[in-house]
Order: sequence, then C-alpha cells, then structure tokens
Amino acid sequence: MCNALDIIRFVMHVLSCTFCHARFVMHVLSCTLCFALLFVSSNAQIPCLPRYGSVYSSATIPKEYPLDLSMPAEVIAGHKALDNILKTATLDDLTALEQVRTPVGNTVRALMKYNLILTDYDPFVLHRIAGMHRSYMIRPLDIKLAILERVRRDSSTSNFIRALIGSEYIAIIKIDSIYKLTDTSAAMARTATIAHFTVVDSLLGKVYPSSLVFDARQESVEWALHGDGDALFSTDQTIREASLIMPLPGQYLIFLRFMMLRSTITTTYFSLAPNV
Amino acid sequence: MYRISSDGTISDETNYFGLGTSPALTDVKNAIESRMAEIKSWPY
Repeated sequence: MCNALDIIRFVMHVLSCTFCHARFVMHVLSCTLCFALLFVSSNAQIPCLPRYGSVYSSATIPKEYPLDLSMPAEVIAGHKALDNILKTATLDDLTALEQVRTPVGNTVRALMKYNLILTDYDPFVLHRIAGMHRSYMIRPLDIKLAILERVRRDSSTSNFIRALIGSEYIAIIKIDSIYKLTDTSAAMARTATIAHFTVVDSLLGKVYPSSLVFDARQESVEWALHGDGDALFSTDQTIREASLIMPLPGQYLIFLRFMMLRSTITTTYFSLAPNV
Repeated sequence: MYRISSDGTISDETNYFGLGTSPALTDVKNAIESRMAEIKSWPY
C-alpha cells in the first residue's frame, strides 16, 4: 500500500524526470539551434560565441552610404565610385579580376587607392554596407577580397602593400591588460588570449570601436578558415604573436583587420583579428 | 616576415618593410605613412 508520502514522492519523481527530460530536450534543441544559427540562419543574433568583449555590432547600412558634405572630397568620391561598382559589378566580374595574370593595372590600383582612403576614414563603413540591397550585386567586402587575391597573385606587389591593403587598422597601441581565458562550455572558441589596449597613434583607420580588445581565439581562427576560406589567418599562435606585434616598452605596432562574423538585415557583427 | 627576439629587438629577416633586417620602429612608422600617402596620391 502506498501512503500519502509515497504518492507525493512518486509525483515529485515523475515531475523531476519530466523536468530533466525537458531540460535535456531543450539542451539538445539549444545546441542544434546554435549550430544551425552558426552555419545556416541569416537573421538571428550572433550565437554561441563567448562574450569575450571583442565582438562588436553595428547597424547595417541598408542602402547607399549617406554622404556628408563635411567628408573630405576624396572620401565622397570614393563612396560614389563604390556605389557605382556595387550596382554594376557581379561576383563573376570580381572572379575574372582575380584571375588576370598580368601585373596589376590602373583599374586595380584605383580600387586599392579608394579602398585605402575609405578604410582610413572609417574602417567600419565598408563592412556595414549591406550586400542584400536589391540594387547591389556584391558587397564592399567582396571587392576588398578580390583586390587582395589579385595582388597576392601579382609577384610585383610587395608584402608591405598587401599588409596595407589587407588591414583595417595599423596602430601603435599600449596594452592595458592581457589575460588568457578558457571556456570549456563554449561550442567554439574555447581558448582565447585577450588584450585590452589603448591606441597611442593611429596610422590607418581613424574610427575605432568604443572599447578596444584584441582577441586571438585559436578556434575562432579555425572557424574563419573553414567558414570563408580566408587563408590569411594562421592558426599557429607562436607565429602569429611573433609576426604581428612589434614590442616596445609597453607599446606595440599592430596590424588588425575586421573579421566579419555575420551580417543580418539590421545588424552586422565583427571581431578584430591580426592581419598576417 | 619580421620577428621579435626576447629582448624586443626587431629582426626583419625578409626585409618586409624594405628597411633592412633591423629596422627601428620610427622608420617602420614613417615607411607605412609615406607608402599610404603614395597610394592615396595615385592618379587614378
């Protein structure tokens, strides 16, 4: 015979099991959703990546970049030229541009020039302009990647030029703090080296995120490699640290580039990574 | 590519910046700025 206490225990056990089961199902669904969001979805918040402080978000610019008469003339000219290219060029055009085997000509040089001018004025802008706007066939980022691939194939272009064109920021910085972080619960990017820094002198890129963090995430780098095939990244931490940062007493010269995590209709997510 | 020794000395083995194998940071900075200015002034 069951007494009242047994019945209560039984009900509690059933409820507990149901709750555990529900939690398990929710956990599985959550993980599944995370992976789905990472690799498939295009409209959700940036999923799964730990909050290391180096993931920045900014409103996506849905249409043509709004020009301001206070901008330097060369920046306005660059944006107008960019707008025309985005409306008329296709990915096939960029692929054809990449595969030309002759030395870099005037067209590519013009692209390099205005890419540098616009990046120096505001590195964020080129990455916030949406590619899904109906009058744009490509994204500014596609143009930048095509330029980089084109100069990579051109042996007459020095590594120095490639570093200039491929970077969003070149700066002398002062490290405020640095620490290593392990997050074994993270689906990706479980280990990280985080450096908070202050910009002492900016050589390229005049607009910065409000809180600057340099984040060397081993696994996020691998994700970038697999995600977009960008071979500029090295997963070798030793090589990266040795080749990217020049130490001074408390200061460093550093080359950084945006790593676009994802872009939605309303929001674009970035991180900062070393430009190798 | 350039490398850094433990004492902070820059060793640019491949003459990455075109400034020799042991450039000073000031020279590297000047080289970056002058190269950027050169590209921005290209007549295209």
